[in-house]
Amino acid sequence: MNRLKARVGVLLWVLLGTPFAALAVTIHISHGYGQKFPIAIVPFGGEQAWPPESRPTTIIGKDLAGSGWFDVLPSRDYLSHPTHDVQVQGHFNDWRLLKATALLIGHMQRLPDGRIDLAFRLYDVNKGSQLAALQYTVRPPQLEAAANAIANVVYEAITGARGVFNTRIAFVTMYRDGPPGHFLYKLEIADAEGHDARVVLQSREPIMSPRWSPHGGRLTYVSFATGWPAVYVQDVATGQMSRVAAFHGLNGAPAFSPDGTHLALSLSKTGYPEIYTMNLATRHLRQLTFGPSINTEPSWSPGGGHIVFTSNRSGGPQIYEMNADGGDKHRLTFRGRYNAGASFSPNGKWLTLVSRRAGQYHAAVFELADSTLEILTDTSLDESPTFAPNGQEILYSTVVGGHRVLATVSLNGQGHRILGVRGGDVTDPAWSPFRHP
Amino acid sequence: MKMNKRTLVIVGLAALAGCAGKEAVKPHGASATASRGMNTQANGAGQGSNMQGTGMGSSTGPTLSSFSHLVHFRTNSATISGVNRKIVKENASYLEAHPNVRVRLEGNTDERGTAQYNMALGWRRADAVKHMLEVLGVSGSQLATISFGKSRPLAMGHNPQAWAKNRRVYFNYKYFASK
Repeated sequence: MNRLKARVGVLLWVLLGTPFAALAVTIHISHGYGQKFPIAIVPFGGEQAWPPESRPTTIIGKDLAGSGWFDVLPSRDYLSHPTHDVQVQGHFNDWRLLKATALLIGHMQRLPDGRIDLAFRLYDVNKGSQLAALQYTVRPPQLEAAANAIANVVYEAITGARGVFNTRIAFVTMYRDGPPGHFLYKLEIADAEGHDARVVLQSREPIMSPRWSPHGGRLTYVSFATGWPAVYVQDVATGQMSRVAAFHGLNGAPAFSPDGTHLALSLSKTGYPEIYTMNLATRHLRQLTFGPSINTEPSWSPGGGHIVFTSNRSGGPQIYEMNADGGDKHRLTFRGRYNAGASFSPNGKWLTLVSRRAGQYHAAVFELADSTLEILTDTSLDESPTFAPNGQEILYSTVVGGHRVLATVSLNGQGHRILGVRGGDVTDPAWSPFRHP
Repeated sequence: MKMNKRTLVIVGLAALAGCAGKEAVKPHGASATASRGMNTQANGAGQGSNMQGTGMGSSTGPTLSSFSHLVHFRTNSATISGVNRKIVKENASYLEAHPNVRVRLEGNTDERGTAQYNMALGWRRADAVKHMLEVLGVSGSQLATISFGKSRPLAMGHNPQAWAKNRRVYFNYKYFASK
């Protein structure tokens, strides 16, 4: 939180030329899998003074290409390298030849006080018009955040959806520690690229299943720190934690309600894992499922009216839906014999879940309107899929090269990247909501 | 088909447990309450792999190191079958001969599937072992269950051999002995 305030305070947003309202002009995505927007990103004037990996256009290009919605055209093909508006006007045909939909230019310079001035313009190449123009003044450590902010502006101007390049992710890392079966577990928060990780909690007992509160101020998770599983809620800024569920048996799968006042969770205190909701202010529990089967992994609909969950009441794990008061339970998934760990997309139209096909466990998307289930990945040990707050990408954990890593896949199936989280095996990712809702 | 069979076995075990007496049908976790009272006695048992029961006088039976403390399961199953039944019986004999010894039954799964469904699956495995022990005459007050789901793999590989090793319930005799 403090870091966020500092960043907002330092970023000086200055409007150039075209009014900010130009951002309202968007090129709308026609819903069809596989579409990408070709974009030309011209190296910013003055950025050659920075090492290649910290140059704004390097970061912006990575962000946009990684999102799966952009095809970043190689700069060696550009006929010119404009850095200012005057060099662009009258030359849009150069970019049309390259089949670029959008063009990003900019320039930067170090100010006498050490800060950096960074200005950019984004153009709609076909219309020959400007889509966005902004200037930032930042201190050097905030250059990456500024580049991510530019990527957000470009992403939103072109796709119509909010960019997620300044959001955060929470995840658990595991390190072998001692004899087999013993590990060091760390709950960490990093930026959406998996960089700048900081440890929120560390334990020699397992930590599992972090989930964000609606505005990203709190995390809920399962920790075995006492030797037994318990559900905790922790303030992200202060680190202050409280243990909210430590009943006999399982205490698991916590998820915040969309208004942040309740948790849904799974407890086995009656003898079987059942779904409950807990009022966080009063700790009052309400049991929503009854019966001798596994009921776990509750997830609220964005409006708070429904909860989906995993149950094996029909034999194997399948996804069910009920009203938030436990009424009207019905099965959602019928295809395949293992469907588990569902959570809603931000618009409430889809679920992402783990689905087994031919013995392989894939991140998948279930469309609620027509009950279609689509596999998104070709990896085989996927777990914990979670929607990006803009609903355009899914973050999950999978095994690549013998290690558990975090990966994303875009809903158009075109973007797939491995996040650069350092450390041991990485599991249980959860994507934060937007910082400013 | 496979699922139905498993369900039947579990129901069968639960029914048997019901016949075995009041102790056996206690809700899961109820024994953990009882267990706290036992801790001090268990402390007297000392530590080490050859830990014997306390205050029993005759400890001529098998020692802890003379039988396996691990039972294994098929994928997505909590059914105890084959050699694993023999292992549960050996542990049951030991626990019956040493009524002051407490054991924590630790359910685990392989890495496939979701973390929290695996938590529930590990719980079912530990619970299945607990029920079988109770059916065999072990007092519920000697037994506590916990699931670690997939979070504590013994074998680190991402292959069927590693998965088979990780689908297990571990009879942890040291947990209460060291408390």
